[in-house]
Amino acid sequence: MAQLKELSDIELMKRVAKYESDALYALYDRYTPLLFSLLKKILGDPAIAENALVEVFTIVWRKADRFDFRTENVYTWLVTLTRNRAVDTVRRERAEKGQTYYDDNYENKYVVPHLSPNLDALDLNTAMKIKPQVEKALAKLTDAQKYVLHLAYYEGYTLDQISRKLRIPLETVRNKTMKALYNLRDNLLSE
Amino acid sequence: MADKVISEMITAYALGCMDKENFDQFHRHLKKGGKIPLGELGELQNLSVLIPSLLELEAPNPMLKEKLTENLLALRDEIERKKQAAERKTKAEKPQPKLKLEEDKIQSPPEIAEETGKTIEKIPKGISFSSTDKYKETTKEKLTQQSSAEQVKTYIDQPDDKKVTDVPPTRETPKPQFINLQPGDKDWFNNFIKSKTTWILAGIPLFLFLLLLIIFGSQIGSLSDSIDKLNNNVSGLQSEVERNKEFVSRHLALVEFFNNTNIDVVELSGTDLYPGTNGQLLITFTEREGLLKLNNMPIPKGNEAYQLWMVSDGQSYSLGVFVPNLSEKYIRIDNVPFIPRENVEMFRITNEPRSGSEMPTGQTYLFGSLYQPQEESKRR
Repeated sequence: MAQLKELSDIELMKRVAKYESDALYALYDRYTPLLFSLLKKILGDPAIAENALVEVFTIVWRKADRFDFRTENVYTWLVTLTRNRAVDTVRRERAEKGQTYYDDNYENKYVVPHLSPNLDALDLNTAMKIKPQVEKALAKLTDAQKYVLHLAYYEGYTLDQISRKLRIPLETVRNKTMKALYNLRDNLLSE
Repeated sequence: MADKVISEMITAYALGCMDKENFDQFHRHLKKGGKIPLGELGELQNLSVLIPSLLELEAPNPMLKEKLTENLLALRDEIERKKQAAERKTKAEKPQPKLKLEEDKIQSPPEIAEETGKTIEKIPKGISFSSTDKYKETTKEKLTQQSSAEQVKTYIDQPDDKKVTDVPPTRETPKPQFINLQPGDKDWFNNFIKSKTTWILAGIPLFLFLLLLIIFGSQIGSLSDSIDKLNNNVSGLQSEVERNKEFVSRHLALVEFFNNTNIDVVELSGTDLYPGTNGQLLITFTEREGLLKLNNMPIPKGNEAYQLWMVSDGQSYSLGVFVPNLSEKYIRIDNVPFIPRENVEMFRITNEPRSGSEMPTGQTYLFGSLYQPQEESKRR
């Protein structure tokens, strides 16, 4: 186990894809604080967040073969998977009764991430190292841009829902969301 | 930046805030290889996952890992099938011919670069928002410097259909060599063939060699049989050890639980709707943990599960969501809420979605209440 701790994210993921459970536990130990905090932020209740965390790693175990190893980007895959899983729960709670359909195909389509094949490599260490820059870049956004990002990313609202919630035209929401993310990128590049 | 409409779409896709209809359309378009700036999409996807890096990090209950282990154990059969399928696939694949090794070395990286737009050089760790085309250029430059320059450059710049045929051969075909026998040599050769003594002399070592070969062959055969048998024994013992470990870990949990004093036993009975079902809840309010045993409970459908509730002052508190598992006799319950024993009115089990509910929403399968000594004394 001690040796596994030394392995990179991608090396661990390769072992997970071969169903080496120790590698999954190593990945769990490494990523749990971040993923649990994200789940708690989205789902609110710590107990529900804990259940969701177990489900996320169960999905990783079952669906590791859907990870695109060419991207070498386990961080983005895991965080997106976790966020998708949490947002799916939140959207189900908000949806009208009867919308409880969930099977393997649904999971593959809406929960397992579909990342661009042209994704730059990123790992947990790097993400944590550039945290101050991300913080500064985010702080430079306007309040409206921050709010729209919050509603979309953490609250799980779709663009249509944000438009209805804030009572502003859908076009404006689309534009604001795009500007928020592109400004965040530009701010981060200038840091 | 790409066209405004496309940028808006890829932003919504990267942030995961498209409604289902648009998501399905965009997803189909992406799968069909429609025109989407994949580099830019990748940048935005990497960017959006940096947002949670700012969260204050906290760790969940350390016991949660056990739940993960339970899930992994429950998936054993599925994983075993996947493993076997993967093995069959590997066996079915024919090994690639190892000819033209040098050519392969040169060819494969540009193929990958063409397909994915990524470099074969390991991309330096760290986020980079540079476009993919830049990486492609870097690849080309690096390849040009590293390998035999002319071959690679020609390869990358050529159209695809010429790539295989135009690569120059890197190995020379060995020419057959003939031995020219001189007249004197020929006589010696004829004499040698004709000489019976020479035949016998040559035959003895050959015979001995064959004999040794047979003896060693049979010994090697029996040795490999023994190794196979030993391997089978070892794998049998390994699986037995695994089974024992699992048994011990399960029962250790039970032993640990029964070390607690003040364990309450709650008999759970089936409601009128499910009269044949029953169960038992063993709970300790001092250690805030419990064990649940269920009998004759139907397996919940698709995305459904059972949720155990503790009712106090009319409020329901969740004790956990679970799906009965044939291999698990007892379901472990952690984190029983801080509610005084005497305030607990009843326990009940309802049918809920697998993600769990905040309040009971489904039908009640089982219910039961704590044995209250006061009530007993009143009756007396």
